Amino acid sequence: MTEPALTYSPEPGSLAEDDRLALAAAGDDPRAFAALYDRYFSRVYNYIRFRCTNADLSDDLTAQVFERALEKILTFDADRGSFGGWLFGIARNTVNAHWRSGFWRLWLPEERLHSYPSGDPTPEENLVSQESRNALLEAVRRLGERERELVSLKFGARLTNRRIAEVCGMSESNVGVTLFRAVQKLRVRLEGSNKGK
Amino acid sequence: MDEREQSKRYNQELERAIREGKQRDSKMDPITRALLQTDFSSESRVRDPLKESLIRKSAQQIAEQNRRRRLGMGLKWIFRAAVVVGVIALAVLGFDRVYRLGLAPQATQTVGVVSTGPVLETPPVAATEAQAEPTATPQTTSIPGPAVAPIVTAGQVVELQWSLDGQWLGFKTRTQEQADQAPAGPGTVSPEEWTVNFLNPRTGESCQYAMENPQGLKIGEWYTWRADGSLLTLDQNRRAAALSSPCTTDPAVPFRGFPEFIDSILLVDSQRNLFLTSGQSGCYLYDARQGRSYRLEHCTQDASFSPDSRYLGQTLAFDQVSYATEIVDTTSGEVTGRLDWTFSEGGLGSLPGPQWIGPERFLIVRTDQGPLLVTLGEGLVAQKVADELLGLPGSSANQAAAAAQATGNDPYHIGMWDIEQGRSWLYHSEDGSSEELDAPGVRLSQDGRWAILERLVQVEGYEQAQTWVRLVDPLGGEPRQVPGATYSAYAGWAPGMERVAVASESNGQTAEVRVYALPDLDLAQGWLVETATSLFPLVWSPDLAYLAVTNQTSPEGAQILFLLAFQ
Repeated sequence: MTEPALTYSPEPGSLAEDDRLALAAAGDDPRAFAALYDRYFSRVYNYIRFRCTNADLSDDLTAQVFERALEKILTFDADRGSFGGWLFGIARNTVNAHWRSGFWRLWLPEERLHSYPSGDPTPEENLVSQESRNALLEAVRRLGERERELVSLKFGARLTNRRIAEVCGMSESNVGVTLFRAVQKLRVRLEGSNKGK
Repeated sequence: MDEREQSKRYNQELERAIREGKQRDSKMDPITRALLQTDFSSESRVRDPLKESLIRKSAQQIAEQNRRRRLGMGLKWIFRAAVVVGVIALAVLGFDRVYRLGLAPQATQTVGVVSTGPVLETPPVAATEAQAEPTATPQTTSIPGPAVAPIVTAGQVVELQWSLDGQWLGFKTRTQEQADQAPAGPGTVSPEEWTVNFLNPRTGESCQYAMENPQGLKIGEWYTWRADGSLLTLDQNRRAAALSSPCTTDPAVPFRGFPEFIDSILLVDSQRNLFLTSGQSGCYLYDARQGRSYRLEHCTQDASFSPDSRYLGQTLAFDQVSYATEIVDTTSGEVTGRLDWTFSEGGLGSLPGPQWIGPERFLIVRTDQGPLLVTLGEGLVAQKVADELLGLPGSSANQAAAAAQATGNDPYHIGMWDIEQGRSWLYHSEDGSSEELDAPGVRLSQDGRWAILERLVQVEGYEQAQTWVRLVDPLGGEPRQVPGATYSAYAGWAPGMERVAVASESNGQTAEVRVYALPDLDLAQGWLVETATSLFPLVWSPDLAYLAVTNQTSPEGAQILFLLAFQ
């Protein structure tokens, strides 16, 4: 069996390499931020997509996350935590601010408040069919807010439970149990619906 | 094995699978494998352009840092030179003579400069009433069955539109097969795929229009209701045409003077007399009363008509930062005013058209200077809502505002919120007073009488949204919580704000819809609805007799329409 085209590692590259790139981006190398962007784009995008489901909105919020990160790159301090944790802190605040504001929702026609999945063709390398992904997204959307946040941080952002606990201000064991229950709920809903077919 | 042990094992296995990149690890359950294998990032449309933009911004940022660094170095050397001169002067001339020559450190003068500048004072904000503390959403009793059965089940059911007299409900559907092939929204699916359905719930009469229909009407592409119950759509020549009733067998009557080659109708006024259109031959404003059209230089969907339809306002976007609001006199097609503004955080999203407050006043809801209240007169006169109306120190792009239409010289109210600070305010035009609200966000009801507040509370350590309402009147009293409502946009607000409908989350089989009567928010009616997914939107008929509701696409793909009769 061939290895999946999609590969993640919990911390892209080594932590030290990320921190070095972040320092270079804050210093004098514009390509350094682009390198960080390449490393983190998929994880940030997937995290946001799991949380808000709408493709256009995910694009918009992902752009905001990286633009804010670039603006604040001088404030990144490797002694206080990893670049990934810092970046996902910005991502989480951006999504929370979006929902909190209520304002942006007024800009979206009602039909777009809940996502319509993108009509783009599914790339060949995609491992999960469009139909399954839509069903999965819908099931995730029906989770409670906290469960959806944890599923997004785990499967979208690929953070370790320890990092999720830091980002969300929860205990690591609480993260684990909540995540376990959330996946069980998804299993009941998705497998139940498949059986019904 | 107890749950904690199962959870521990699951998480250990999951972290290992992620660490080792084994998304297809057979030991993981199918759902976890699907979650691990799912990657949406290939659907992003901004990945490459965003990267280019960030590289440019990064280079600019670095250049600016270097400039500041060089400036800092220069100042450092000047300071060092000044210290050396001072020390030498002290040594040669002595302290008294140096002080008289003015070479001593300038601390007192520096303080003087600051103290003579403009003093920013905290604005006089009306005292906030003692308001009830936000609490967790109260538990409500269950609605007894039997559950409401579906009216229509299809692959997709979208765009619920009641006729203005409340007699007919229009909605678009696609088959399950179509939805499976391209599960997308109305904007991204070819109009040919949609079937438009009309249903009169009182008489049971119904009809359907596929894109190809004997009359050649392009109802699947566009239609709107008129006040007399007739229906406006495009005929086979892409001209506006009216049907006396949606299911009539009478032919459609074309509009005289309607511009040719219409690609799309961007906006229609509330009376359905003015049409903003775009097509191969350009942009037109068509006036059905006069049967004539005016060619416009610009047209956009981000537009709105003033309440009396005298003016058309459009938000024109030139890039992701520069915008202009343009006002067109609908009686002549002439541009009567234009206001340029910037919004650096506009990004890739579109900005809405002007939000009209009366016939000659509108709000630009968000700019770099915060929201602007604009008055038509000799040109457009803009006031910053934060500084000039609320008396707050400083306007910023983090502020956004909403207002409701007011007729004539009636008082109006503006709600403004600061996204970063999580604070909101209400402005009262009656006396120019303002008050800070105990909520991070505020909207106004369509009739302008109610302020709808969104609060966030911590429930079990997690944020939960709640919706509260109060009258906008300065003496409007304490806000009341709408039971069970999370974000205000998900509730079904009745026209006239007599009622609000709230749907609960589905338990996998049913969800509950409750209607509360304002102002006391007493439970007026409730329904149990058969749905495995959440219900949204909740659309009231204009006569408040019915509530049309669809559920969200279920994992099986079906979408269902329910019709709830209010008694």
